[in-house]
Amino acid sequence: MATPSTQATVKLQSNDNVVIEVERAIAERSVLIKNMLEDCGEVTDAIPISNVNESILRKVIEWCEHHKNDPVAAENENDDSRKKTTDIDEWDQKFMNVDQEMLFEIILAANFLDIKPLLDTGCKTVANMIKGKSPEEIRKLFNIQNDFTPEEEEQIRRENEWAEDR
Amino acid sequence: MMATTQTPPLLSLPNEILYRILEFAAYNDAHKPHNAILTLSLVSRRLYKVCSDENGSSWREACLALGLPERSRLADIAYPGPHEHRCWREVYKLIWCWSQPFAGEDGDVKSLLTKMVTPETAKKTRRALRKLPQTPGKKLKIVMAMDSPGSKYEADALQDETGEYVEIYTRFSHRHHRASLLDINTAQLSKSINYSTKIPFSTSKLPTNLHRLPSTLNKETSTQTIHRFTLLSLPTGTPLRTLTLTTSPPGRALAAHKTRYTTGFELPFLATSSAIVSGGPDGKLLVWNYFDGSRQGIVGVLPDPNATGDFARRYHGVRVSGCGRYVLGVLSDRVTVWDVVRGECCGSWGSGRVVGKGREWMVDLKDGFGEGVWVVVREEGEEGELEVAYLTGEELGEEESITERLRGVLVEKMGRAWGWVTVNGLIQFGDGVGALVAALFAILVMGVWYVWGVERPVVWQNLLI
Repeated sequence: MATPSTQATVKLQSNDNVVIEVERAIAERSVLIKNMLEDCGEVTDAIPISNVNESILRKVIEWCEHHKNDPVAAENENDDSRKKTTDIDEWDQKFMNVDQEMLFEIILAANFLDIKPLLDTGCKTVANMIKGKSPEEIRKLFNIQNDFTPEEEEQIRRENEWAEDR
Repeated sequence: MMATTQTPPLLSLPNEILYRILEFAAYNDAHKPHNAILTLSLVSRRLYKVCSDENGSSWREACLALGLPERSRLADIAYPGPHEHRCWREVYKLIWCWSQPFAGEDGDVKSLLTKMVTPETAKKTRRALRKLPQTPGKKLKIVMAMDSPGSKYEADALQDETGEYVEIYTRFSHRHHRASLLDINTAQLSKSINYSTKIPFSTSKLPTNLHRLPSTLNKETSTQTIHRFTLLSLPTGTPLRTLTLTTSPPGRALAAHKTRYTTGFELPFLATSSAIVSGGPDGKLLVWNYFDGSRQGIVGVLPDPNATGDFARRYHGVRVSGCGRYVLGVLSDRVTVWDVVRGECCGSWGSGRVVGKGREWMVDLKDGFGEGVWVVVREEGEEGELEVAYLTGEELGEEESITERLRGVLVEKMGRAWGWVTVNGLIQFGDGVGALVAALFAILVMGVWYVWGVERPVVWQNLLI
């Protein structure tokens, strides 16, 4: 492993070739980038973030800046505890108040960059959108085509009978 | 980043992210964690597939939402049968259905007791209690037992006169019984009493089939031992069928034959099957059909291939493998395995040493092992390392390295569940020709075992302690 660097900032390059300079501490909210920096030491070139475009990268950086002082979960910490609630703090709710395409892009970026708290926030947002809705309402909300045949749908309903009227 | 412009963004997400969304969705409705999962399963084929994935973590999270201990592993709580039958969804269904009141029960009874408790005296045993109706003295039809694979656990519950407590009788070994007093309001263990002698009690085991719960009842009288095997409807709690298993032949004194009978508490069954096995006279094991009303009674007899004259020995342990194919009978120093699909005796093996009453045998080991009956042995000269040897299977004698520490032989893959073909086979097996073939086969296998045993002497090791 390389010697720990005192580098203050790092450059991140989106997949549409835009370079954004951010504080190292902020960039290191991403476990992917953190590990990369630890392995490579000082990096002067821009780090390519090949799966994320500029607008999403800026959103992710915005989130990381806001949460830069949040405690980092221990590597081996059982993550069951964070699943106990789907509550999202107010700032994150506003942050996630974007169109669906961007919401899912943020989730995918968080997954790629390995930013678990952001990924969880995105997933909680989607879970909350689903809450209390019928299958038809969910289809409408997410623009999903019903690709079941009536027979298949009936079969699934029969499979789920154990949970009815309980 | 989206897969295609045509695919809805939600469906473009990789499965691991969809699982995570489902986990949160399950936690969104703490009272009915399944709601979101079942709703999503009806949205599209893709989501149905994700929701139905046996290994999907969403159902595990839903189980946690119902109170399952976080550290629980599927292998520790699910029915130790074929891997195909192990999935978190089934565990969830079981916990959920047990938490619901039976039809006709007072819905206003104070809070459902759907809480996992870990008695101090049996830390490895988890159990869940369903709602207990406030009927003092009434024998309850309850109690779900969730235990480690292969470990013995049977339970029954009685409510005391005040209606405040429920007495849970559990049995941990052939010799010891334990009665635990639980406060039904707090689900906390209040008292635990050891019994050194048998007491009349009923037992229930944990099936994966949610529509029926076999339960055995035992009553020992001065003249005969009566075993009743009662099938309960899980949705309604009402008895569907009671099978009376009287192991004492009419007109024969119990005292003269008692030791020939396998204990009545050893009535292994498969929830996915329709057969149970009990001890019988003259060292035989009896196969009973407990589900098909038209064929109640003995449907097969498994003879003791080592029986000599009138000195048939008593099986003190009987097991049915998770795949339903193999039946294991344990004598004091010998185990015999029958393949009930083929209707033949797989073999009879002696350890060369006395196998104590408390010794146990695994019918299915953890994931990664094949179906069948297994026993753990300790080989001499191996620095005390535990190793696994097989007792059943087609690949007799073949060994396969499972892990660094364990070695075993993979037995034949999943066999068919018991059905009429099997039953018919068992009936045929009971005749003289079948018995002769089985005996010859047993002798052959014993020879192979003897040679193997001479080369590598073993000491049976109880894995289950």
